[in-house]
Amino acid sequence: MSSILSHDIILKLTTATVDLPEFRSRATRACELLIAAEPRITRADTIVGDGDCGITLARGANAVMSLLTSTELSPDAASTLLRISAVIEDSMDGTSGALYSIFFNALTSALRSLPSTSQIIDSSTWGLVASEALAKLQLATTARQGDRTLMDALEPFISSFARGDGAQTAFTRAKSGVDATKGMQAAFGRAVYVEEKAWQVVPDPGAEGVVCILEGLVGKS
Amino acid sequence: MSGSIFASPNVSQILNTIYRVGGEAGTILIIKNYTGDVFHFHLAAEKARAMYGLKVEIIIVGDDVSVGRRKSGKVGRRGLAGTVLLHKILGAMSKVPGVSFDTLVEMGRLVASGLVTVGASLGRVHIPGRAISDENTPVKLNQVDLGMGIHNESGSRILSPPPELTSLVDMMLDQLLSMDDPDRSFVNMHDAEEVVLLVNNLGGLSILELGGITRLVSIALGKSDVPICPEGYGLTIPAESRNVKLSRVLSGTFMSSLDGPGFSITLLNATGEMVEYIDAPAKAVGWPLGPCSSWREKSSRTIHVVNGTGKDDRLAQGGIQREQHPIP
Repeated sequence: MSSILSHDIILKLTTATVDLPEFRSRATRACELLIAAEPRITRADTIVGDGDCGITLARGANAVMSLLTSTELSPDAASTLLRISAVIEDSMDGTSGALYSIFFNALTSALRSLPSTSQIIDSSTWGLVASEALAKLQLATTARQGDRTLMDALEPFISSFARGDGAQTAFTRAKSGVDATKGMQAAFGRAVYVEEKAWQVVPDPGAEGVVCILEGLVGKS
Repeated sequence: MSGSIFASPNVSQILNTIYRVGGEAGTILIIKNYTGDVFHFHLAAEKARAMYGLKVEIIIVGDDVSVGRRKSGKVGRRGLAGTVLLHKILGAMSKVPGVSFDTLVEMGRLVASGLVTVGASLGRVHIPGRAISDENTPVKLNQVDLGMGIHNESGSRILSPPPELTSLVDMMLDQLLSMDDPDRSFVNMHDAEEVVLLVNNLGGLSILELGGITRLVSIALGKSDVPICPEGYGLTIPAESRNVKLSRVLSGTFMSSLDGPGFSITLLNATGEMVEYIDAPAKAVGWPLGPCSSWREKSSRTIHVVNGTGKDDRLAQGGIQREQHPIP
């Protein structure tokens, strides 16, 4: 019996639509920023964690970049996100790999539940599906804003964006979220095991990674 | 499905199982609260939803009371043998004609919220294929691990010198029942409609030992009709009971930790409906074949046996008596 789990299978999904060139350029920018930030994130994670956060994120970003340049992507939103989810799952490991995989798969299933339309997904719909995906991620982890994790960037961004504040304002919220992690006490991850004074020196590396991605997706103001 | 020894199955294994075994109405994943399992099962559930549009719900069990609120923090309590009662109840309930997926999920969450478990062990386990060392020598003579898990982590409290079984059980029941302990007091058993006791063998106890422990725990909780052997086999009979009225007592190897030389005690604050599902016949390996209702409080129902075989009269009312009919 053949495995159902091969990522080569092409699922014929018809959901809502993305503007593919626009999507490609924003997502590529997000990956580039993440790769550029790798040394900074690695340095921070060497202080408060086990030092693999930057490399894991950069590995994921490189893998997604090569997917974005391939011709396989379709304008169908769920199909594209499903491919990205599979690439993330294959290329990233550790806790951040699990968290990113859960979030992107949840984003895909939220997109699947949208009615099929050739209309380009608008920002209020993105806000809706992102909120659903965040809710699913929060079932898999009890980490919340304030626990010194990537949630400190993701939660404020999504809640502000879903409220209709606009992408730029939401991005500002995410950035303040990351800044606030400097000096914050860790409740999860390896950071729990290091000396408390290390928390004062750097913000949470996982949250910094999220901000790089958001900066690319949001684009120039 | 199982992963490697003491590790979560991976996402592919879980997704494969959901896809191939899951029913049409949907799939409920009952998992125990360990970070690896929680991540992998949630990811598999999201993939099942995203790739195939399947209905999947997750119920997480964290019935351990040994690590209190303060220490377990946001990670929460471990899942232990109480999970088996959840499997049994939902398994039987899913056979009820017309029961909905959502009702099952709701029942599952209710059961999970009424479970408390604590384990104890004389030592760690031996992992097959590994050389015996001082570290994994099955039994240590000078200590007992209280708050033993199922993945070979050491207990949350090491008791040395080892207490006698009666006082060990007493400490365990304190952790399970005390409503004065702000760090615990998870489930109140004294306001329960029904209480189910499950005594679980971590794998390395003999049937005789487990039987002795079950008897002791039953007596300590308040079961009055457990036969007390005058010699006591060296066990002190608890002086006073805790007045927990047990509806059912289950004893066996339900959730083992390889050859773990220990046991766990689980209590469920149950409803009458839950008890019916526990009583329902099951053929799963490890589940006692006899009806656990044979452990009920003494029934007033009595049985006539005519000629030693009289089927029709067995359920007739009256005192238990065997009528003597001389065989011609």
